[in-house]
Amino acid sequence: MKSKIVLAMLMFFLICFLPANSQTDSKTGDNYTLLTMPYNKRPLTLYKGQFQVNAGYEFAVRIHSFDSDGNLKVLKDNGTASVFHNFCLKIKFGITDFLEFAAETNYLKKGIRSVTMQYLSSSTESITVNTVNETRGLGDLLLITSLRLPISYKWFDFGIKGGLFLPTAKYKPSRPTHTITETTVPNIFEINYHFNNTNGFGVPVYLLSSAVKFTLSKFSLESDFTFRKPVKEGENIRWDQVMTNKTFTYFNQPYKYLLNRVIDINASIHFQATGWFNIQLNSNYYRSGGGWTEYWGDKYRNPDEQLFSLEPGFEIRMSPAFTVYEFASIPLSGKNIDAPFCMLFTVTYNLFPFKK
Amino acid sequence: MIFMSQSFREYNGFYEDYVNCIGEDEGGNMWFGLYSKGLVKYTVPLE
Repeated sequence: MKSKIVLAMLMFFLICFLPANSQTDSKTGDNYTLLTMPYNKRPLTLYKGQFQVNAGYEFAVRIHSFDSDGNLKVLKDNGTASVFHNFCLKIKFGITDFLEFAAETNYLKKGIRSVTMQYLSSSTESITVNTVNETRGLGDLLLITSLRLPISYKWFDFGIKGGLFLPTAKYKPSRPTHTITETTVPNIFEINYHFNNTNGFGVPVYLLSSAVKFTLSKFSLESDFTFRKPVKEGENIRWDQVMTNKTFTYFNQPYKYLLNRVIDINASIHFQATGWFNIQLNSNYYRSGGGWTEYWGDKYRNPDEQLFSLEPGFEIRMSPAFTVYEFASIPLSGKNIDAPFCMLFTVTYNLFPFKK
Repeated sequence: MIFMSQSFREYNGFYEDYVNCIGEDEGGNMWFGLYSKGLVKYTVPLE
């Protein structure tokens, strides 16, 4: 019995202290070594004095959607397939080896054309209605502070992040730009509704995240959990229109809303094939819900959304300063959400501006 | 994850969209057909 107690205490000691003691205190390296550090030897945050610029382009083809029962719907059969363009920019700076500051924003552009409707009142009267919902504009500015364990990375790392989306983006939609296309026949014409949405939360939103990373030789596992919640309710406007003698008059009405709470979970396995090439397979789970939107004076709960995707990708170090990342996102299951196939291409520039 | 800002998954940040049809289910709850989703979505009134 005594030997079992001693063995249990020894196991407990090893579990508690082996990870900490196997990783030594941080030590400085030359710039070249730090800039060319492969993924499986990098910590979760930048090194002290490291400055990083990330420029990304995300292209999404929206041809599928999951309905409220999780069934896959083919949007192109309805004529409502579309593409998205998302340009992302993020700058990061390592204040110490364990503390990092980052700022990021994005520019999103998409246009979704609805199914064309045709209204026939008689053999000589016909109205065709097209609707385009366009969204374009800068997103909000996200400021993030990241902390990681105060030890140099050997095989285990843990970090937390806290961030705030500042409502810097123009979030109120612009006035619609509807047009009418007339034909030579007086009572046959086409109405083109064109709504001009913008991109922004409209209220501050805070973000909390944690991440963990393990490395075993050339293999690494990384996982992160992110939670996002609005600070308060928001108010926006909704445009509507009246057509008189083929001329549009626009008006808008205010409404209130509460953003959804969002959970985003990633888990990825990485293989460091060589010092400059890393491949990975990430799985992503996205869940959103808990918010509401006001319609005609009543609050309606936003539908809960879920999406599970697989994201194969790779990282190539082109030079000590430049690294290229490429990921694809393949949606596998979900509820109440679009399921676009996405490609994300990112170029990262690294330097130590204050270190010789 | 390199970027954490808004992405294609979120429409302009909140669940705003343009309604293309409105109905009511057996329980008296309204539902909306929303343009960008291409699907009819059910929502339950809170108040």
